[in-house]
Amino acid sequence: MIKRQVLCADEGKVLTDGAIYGKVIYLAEGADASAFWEIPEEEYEAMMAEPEVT
Amino acid sequence: MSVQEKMTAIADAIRDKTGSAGLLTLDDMVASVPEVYEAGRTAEKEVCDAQYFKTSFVGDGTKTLTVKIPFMPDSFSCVATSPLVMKKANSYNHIYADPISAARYSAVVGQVTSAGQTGFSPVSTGSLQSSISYNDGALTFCINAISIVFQQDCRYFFYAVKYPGETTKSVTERDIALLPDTPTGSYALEFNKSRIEATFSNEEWAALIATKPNWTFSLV
Repeated sequence: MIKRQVLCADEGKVLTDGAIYGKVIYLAEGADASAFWEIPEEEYEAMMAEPEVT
Repeated sequence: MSVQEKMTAIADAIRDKTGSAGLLTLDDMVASVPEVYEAGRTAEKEVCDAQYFKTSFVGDGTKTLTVKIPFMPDSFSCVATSPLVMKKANSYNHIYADPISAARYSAVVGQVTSAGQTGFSPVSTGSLQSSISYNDGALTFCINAISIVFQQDCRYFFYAVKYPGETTKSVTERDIALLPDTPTGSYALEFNKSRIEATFSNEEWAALIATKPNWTFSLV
């Protein structure tokens, strides 16, 4: 049986670890939940408004 | 190579196409020819059954692509055909999009940056970054990035494909199935939350991602 930690952002928030963003995060086995923090959804939307050019 | 070795090689080739495992006599090999032909034809037929569409249009200086097309494509691409577009800052020179995909980044755009260089950007569709819609026989793709446009008077080539039997569900299941089981380092895949919730039940989604316990999945 596989158990995953599932992180859910509060209303109006988005979770991130600096690289991944999500309102719901299904962590891989052994992944560290403490690596994630919440940011306001407005901040996430402002970042998404302009695609990152590489 | 002896005759026996050659016969074994022929039998191996037939078994590879038909999936059979037993010994083959010469009569069996003759009888297998139609099955081998059909196996190859079936694979080709799936490609041939796909719908394809191509056209061209002239940019109008806006961010929006509108193309008359007889079907909502699973994938499409748009390429600037004039090399002069590379001299015009803030122009699109290439777009690839996968509307059928539920991945967070289902489009990639190549653009001429303000510095006159080419850059590539992954773009989320169905989000603030871009939107795709299909109404009244026309595909509309709008990228909300502020400063990038389909350059005025530049000709673009557009082509699209629709694969038979493909759905967002089948594409997502295949994408996840293709993930390596043992990635090196921390690996994550991001999906569009509303599309995943519209495609999978909670149980189906849990069962699907359970096949890749070494991957982190995000719904955004």
